[in-house]
Amino acid sequence: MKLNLSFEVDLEEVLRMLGAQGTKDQAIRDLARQAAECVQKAAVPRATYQRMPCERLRPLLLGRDIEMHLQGCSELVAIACTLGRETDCLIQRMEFQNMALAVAVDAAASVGVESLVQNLEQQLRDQLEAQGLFLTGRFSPGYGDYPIRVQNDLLALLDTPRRIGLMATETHLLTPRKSITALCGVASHPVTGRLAGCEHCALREKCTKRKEGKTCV
Amino acid sequence: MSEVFKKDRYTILDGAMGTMLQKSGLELGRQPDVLGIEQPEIVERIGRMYVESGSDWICANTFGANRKKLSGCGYTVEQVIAASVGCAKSACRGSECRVLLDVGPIGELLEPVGTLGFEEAYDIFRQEMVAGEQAGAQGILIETMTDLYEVKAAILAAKENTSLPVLVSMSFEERGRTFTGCTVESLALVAQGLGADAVGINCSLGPREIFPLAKRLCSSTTLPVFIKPNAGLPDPATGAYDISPRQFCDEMACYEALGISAVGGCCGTTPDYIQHLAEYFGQKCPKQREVTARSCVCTPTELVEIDRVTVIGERINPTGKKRFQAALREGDLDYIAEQAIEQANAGARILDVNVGLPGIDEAEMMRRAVKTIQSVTDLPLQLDSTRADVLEAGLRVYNGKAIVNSVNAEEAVLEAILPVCKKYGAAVVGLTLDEHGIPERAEERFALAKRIVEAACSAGIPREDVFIDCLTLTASAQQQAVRETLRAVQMVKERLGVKTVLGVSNISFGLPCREQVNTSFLTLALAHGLDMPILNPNSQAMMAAVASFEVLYNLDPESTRYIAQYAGKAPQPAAGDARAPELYDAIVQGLRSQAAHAAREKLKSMPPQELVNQILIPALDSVGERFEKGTLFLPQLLQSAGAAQAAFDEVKEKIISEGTKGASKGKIVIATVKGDIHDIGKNIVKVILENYGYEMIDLGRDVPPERVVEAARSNNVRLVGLSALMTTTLPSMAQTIEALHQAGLACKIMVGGAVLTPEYAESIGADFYARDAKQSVDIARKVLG
Repeated sequence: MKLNLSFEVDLEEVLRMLGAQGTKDQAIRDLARQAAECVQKAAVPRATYQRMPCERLRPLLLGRDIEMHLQGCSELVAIACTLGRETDCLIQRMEFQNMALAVAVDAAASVGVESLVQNLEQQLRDQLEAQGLFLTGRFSPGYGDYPIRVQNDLLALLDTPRRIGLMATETHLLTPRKSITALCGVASHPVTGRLAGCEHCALREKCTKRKEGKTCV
Repeated sequence: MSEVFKKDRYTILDGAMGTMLQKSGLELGRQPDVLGIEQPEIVERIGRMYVESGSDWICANTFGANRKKLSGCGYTVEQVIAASVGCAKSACRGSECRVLLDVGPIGELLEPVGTLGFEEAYDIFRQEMVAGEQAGAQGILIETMTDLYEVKAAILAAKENTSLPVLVSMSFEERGRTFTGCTVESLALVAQGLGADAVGINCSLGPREIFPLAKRLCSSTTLPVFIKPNAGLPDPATGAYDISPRQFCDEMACYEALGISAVGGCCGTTPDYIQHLAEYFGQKCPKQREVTARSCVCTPTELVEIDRVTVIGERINPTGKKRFQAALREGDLDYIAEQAIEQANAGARILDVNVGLPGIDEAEMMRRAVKTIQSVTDLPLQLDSTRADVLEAGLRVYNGKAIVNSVNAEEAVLEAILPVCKKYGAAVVGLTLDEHGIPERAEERFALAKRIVEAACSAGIPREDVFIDCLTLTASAQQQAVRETLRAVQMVKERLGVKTVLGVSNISFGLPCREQVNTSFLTLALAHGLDMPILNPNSQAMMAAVASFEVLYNLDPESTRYIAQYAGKAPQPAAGDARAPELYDAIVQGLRSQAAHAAREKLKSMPPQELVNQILIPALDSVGERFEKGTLFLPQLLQSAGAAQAAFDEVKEKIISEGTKGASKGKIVIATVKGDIHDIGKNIVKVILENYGYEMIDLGRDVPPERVVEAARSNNVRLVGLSALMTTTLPSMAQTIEALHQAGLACKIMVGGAVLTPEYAESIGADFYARDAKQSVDIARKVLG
């Protein structure tokens, strides 16, 4: 299946990341819109995925949370996607010209790559449902107690350096930066997975969503 | 050494190794390179199958045998390479087939987007290359590359440490660029310039998709070309490739017309595919190919062909610029980056880079300047120095094909600098002067130009890569010499047939209203055959003269570029708007150019220090307070910071021009800790603190503890700021603090970052936790006043 690589940039989400959620200030809203346009123009989105038995990924399924999430699933789909190095370069250059816009572009790119992976997940879900299968939500390294040190091996398994130009540093950070890897469980019966929730989240103390009583997934 | 590829018949390369290993049951996730040690019989068998199917060269199973990928596998790079090359040599026994050391990407992204340094990449490759030659490999194949910088590190490592022939190939997407944006043409220029023996395209696509890219490659280089496509395109879900050996061979047949020299296969291909290729191509003779010589320079993403007026930006040069000199002494590379971006936006196509200043380490500064500029623009660079060591330092880390500015006709200069240009594949500017100075008459300058072109050619530099500068003399001092320069340009252009370059702005030195003299001289020089004026692209009049000339000389077909640039342009509004806001308001409202203008006006009557303390800081404070209260948001804070920065630049300019003491309130070292690559938060803090008059020593991201300690010590700072975004990099922050404490430095440490809390900050020994940029100002005030 050829993937549709389009993504959206939700302005309210960009504003939230800038600490200006729900603002009526037109100048800031314009800035967020301009940032979103810059990202749409610069990004070169790419993605790859692989469906495999959970067993094959066993050495990389570390911690309790991912285990819980994949409960009842015999297979999983691993997804990797990126907005490309062009997005990183854009932000880096923008910082020298207009720091306010650079920060907004950085936020817009984060929102954009989240939308990209969301769209990919939906396409895979539709495809599997047509085969009578069900897909859990997304679970990424770094959620709950699932350590990001699995990134390097996960990328090697998905052959992402060769397929989409995505790599990780020695400290397991994805480069290009605006990139996401995620796992979804596949089962023959309806499953939702169990997302990690806020309990183990590193941003628990500071999260604005949590303060409003919402979650991010 | 026998030739890499035969001239009288096509050379047959091998097919995939990974595909074959998977067929033999290689476990996924296991590093395939160790099989040469653990299951040599499998590796040797695959090699022998390729030998038997007709390969003239086979690859050893060493694609990922670098110390990064092999770490933790239990074997050294030398062991793995010796074993795999050994397997390949055994497979070749009794045949004429030869063995290539196969060198794939390191697997981590290089600077500037990634964190792997160019020098480290070189060293990783050096280890592989040396081990490969010792193990008996007869050639080196650098393949499946997507980053031209990595290619450069690999070619240099091979050429400087072995005597083996080097084949280089990259993987492209259908758009004709690699993942990192590198074009086919840039690969061709750089591989040829660095002395590769053959260049090619492999992987990613099938024969049909690679064909148009191969065509471009063939017309961009005189090197032998090889192509190793995949067996069609893979199914995204299963990874299976979609064309058969027969189809593959049929689709390869059309490559004959291009004049390539060697064929093989990549992912999905097997000995069967190679056998078909050997049967079809094996007895045929490659077609000769005509390549038009063109004058080009490049970065990975941008190829500049000098086939029309090519403006070289002159602003990155400290001569006569006190502000620039101060920036160089302080190691302020941001200033250089800003100059680069400004000139790129103004329409320069190449940037001259001169960082010569007495008392600084010019070679090290050139190296850092090149890296910094290349992280913020795509434009090719012209490295400007008279010293061979400085030029070599810059050329080595430059990503692409650069220009060297300059040599002259003096024997010693030619001998010192031309070999450096040749080694790094750079084009070179030759000045028409020698030990006796600049000759008066055009004929004499022409004679020197001729001598330079001949010397370059005998040093192995192609004629099209030599650009002659006939030298502009100042009209006010040597009025009669101006026409001699113009005549010399014309003679060089017409009789030597090389491109010409000329610094334009000197012409008007000592005259009033310099720009109008410069503009007239520029137009005259262009009409006499000048290709590459070196000028200030921020001068609208100069750029307009270039654009107009291109219309008038039919170099801008249908005036497309001219119209795009100037249609609907209103005349510039007069400066000094009566309703211009006061400096305080301009900063609060985040109006950059108005703030600069207001500051300039104000500085006529107010001492710089007073302006900072009485207007700039109170304005920022008022913005900061509103930010703290939540009535104003981060982007607005940053817009005000941008405006304050513009005003502060005026202040600095004034201080430097008056030669008075700086406005610095103290130095602060700031860094994103080792292992972390998120630096936008740190950069926000830096911008804000700078506006309050603190001198920021920014060490960048992924900074090891010892560099922080060293910077804190050598600058004798009283405050260090550290940033880390991830929970996984917090330990690195703790180590940095520990290192600072152990060094016994009396500085205070403030920390910040998304996952940090005040409690954690305290637990790792930080003196302050900064929630946001505003708080970092409060802390700096407390510590430094």
